[in-house]
Amino acid sequence: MPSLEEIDPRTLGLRIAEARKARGKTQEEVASHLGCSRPTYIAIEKGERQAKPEEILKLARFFGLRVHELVRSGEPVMDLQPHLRAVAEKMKDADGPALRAGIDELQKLAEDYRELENLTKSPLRYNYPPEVNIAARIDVAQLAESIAVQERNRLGLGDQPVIHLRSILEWDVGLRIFYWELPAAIAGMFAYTSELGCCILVNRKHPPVRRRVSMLHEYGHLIVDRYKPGIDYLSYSGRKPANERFAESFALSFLMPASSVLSRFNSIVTATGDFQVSDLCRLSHFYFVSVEAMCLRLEQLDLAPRGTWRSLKESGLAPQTAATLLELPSHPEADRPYPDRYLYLAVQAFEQGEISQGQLARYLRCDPVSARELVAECLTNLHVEDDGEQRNLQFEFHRSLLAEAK
Amino acid sequence: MTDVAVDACCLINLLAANCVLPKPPLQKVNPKGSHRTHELTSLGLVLHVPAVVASETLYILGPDHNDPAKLRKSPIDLDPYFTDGILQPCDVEGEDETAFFVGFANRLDDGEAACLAIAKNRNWLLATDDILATTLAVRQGVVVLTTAELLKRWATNTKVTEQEIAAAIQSIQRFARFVPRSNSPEVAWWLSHLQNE
Repeated sequence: MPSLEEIDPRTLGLRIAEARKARGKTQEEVASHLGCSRPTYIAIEKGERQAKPEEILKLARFFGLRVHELVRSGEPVMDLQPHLRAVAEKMKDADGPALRAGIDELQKLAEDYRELENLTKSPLRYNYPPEVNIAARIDVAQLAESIAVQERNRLGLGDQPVIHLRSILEWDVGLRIFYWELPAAIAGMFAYTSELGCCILVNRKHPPVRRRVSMLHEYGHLIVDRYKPGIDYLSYSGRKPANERFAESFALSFLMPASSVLSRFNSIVTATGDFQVSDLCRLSHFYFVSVEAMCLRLEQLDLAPRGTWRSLKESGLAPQTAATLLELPSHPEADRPYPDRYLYLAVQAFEQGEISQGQLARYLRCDPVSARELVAECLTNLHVEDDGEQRNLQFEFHRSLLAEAK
Repeated sequence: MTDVAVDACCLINLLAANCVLPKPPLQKVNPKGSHRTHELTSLGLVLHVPAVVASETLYILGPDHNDPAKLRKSPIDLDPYFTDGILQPCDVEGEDETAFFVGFANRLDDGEAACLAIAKNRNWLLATDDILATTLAVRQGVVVLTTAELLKRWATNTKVTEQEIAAAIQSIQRFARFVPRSNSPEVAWWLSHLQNE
């Protein structure tokens, strides 16, 4: 039979077991659905017995999966989903089903990413910072500030605003940052796996300025809690533990370096003799952060009195309206669930004939026509001729420029 | 009659052409039967669509009524096509076909795998533009038809004008965002009709 022998019983068993656990089903329940004994089903999960094609079909329907998802090659990423699910089980306030769906999607996105890297032979380069232990009685905010400066220097970012944050954290650090819908109170989650490194899922429901804080917050966890997967709420009641305070301060310090904020604040006050709400809005736009984050940072740096943000909030300041009145242009921010690199690898794999059109649409989480639009977008480049005429150039993704140079 | 299993991407192209498939509702030829097997005279083929393919054939682009210069996604409803027998519903059946399907699903998405399994098992043709599906089909001895080949058949059988062919190609490019690959044998034919415009 074509390709049936290419389905590894062990990998298939692992995927079946993972799908079962994700849905909270017992081996007994699945065996009963298949119409076989529990020992026979256990043998399928263990890869000791190859599931029959009709059993695979039944299992896919039972789990609500596509057959391809069960029989695709490549083992599931083992140390991501179960650990995050264990964390989610302890979070009693969170919307359990939506949170579990988010964890499942992170697992799928991470596996898809690994598959695309394998198909295109393009592994991600990791350049992680050293781990840091937080000693007792240390000022966590100061530590976070100092590590954020070190990180910026290590990545060659100086103290200027970082607009393309997601791309930089992926290219230069090797973080895999995905967006997906999570319960509104959840900011994001983080897990480190031996195979895929650091995987971060940020709540797609939140605006870009909040997502930037969330991804850096999770990055902070990579520094102090590397092997401890975690799920973060937007806010905590009561005193936060030291690692949370570190991650929170790290995110703000990284986005708004003290030296840069101080210098710009000084230049505004020196020039105008004042610092008004419009200056606050402009500064927040400059660093691509929320007005709230900017104001709290000014308070933290003693450039604005403590309680300024609370007072502005109570007075009914609407940051979005203020930004419109000041005609501040919106920043470019890709809203896709996966990073740009993932998109380009999927297009490359498709162009090389490694994945089909249907698979491309699945990888890109869209319908076939939208997938074609994304391919055209990636392969087409607008070129301005010497006479000013504009035309689209189509590129062949797999053409080697180095081979041509030889 | 020549039977063809059509995958979602190819079906979307045919629908986008807006002239290759008859538009439902058709005039009733046989009022007794709601499901008629229809050999499309324009193509000389019977087009079969597996259930999983129908579930993947979701959207096509169409003019935005508020701004005709723009396009917007519009959902595809295949039910009238099935009711009028323009398309035939089918599904993976029997032990051999299921085995083929599961085997192909190792490399392809479910819709493409179902089409190939059915075409292989029933000695049908496969309509696809996908490189990977075509490679696997050729290995299995399954004959493949592409969108461009289907368009050529339509043009020959219905004796349409060059302008009508060009309009169909433009519609496919505009509403399904499809262009044959630069190395495909039909690309020259495809482009020649656009250049004549």
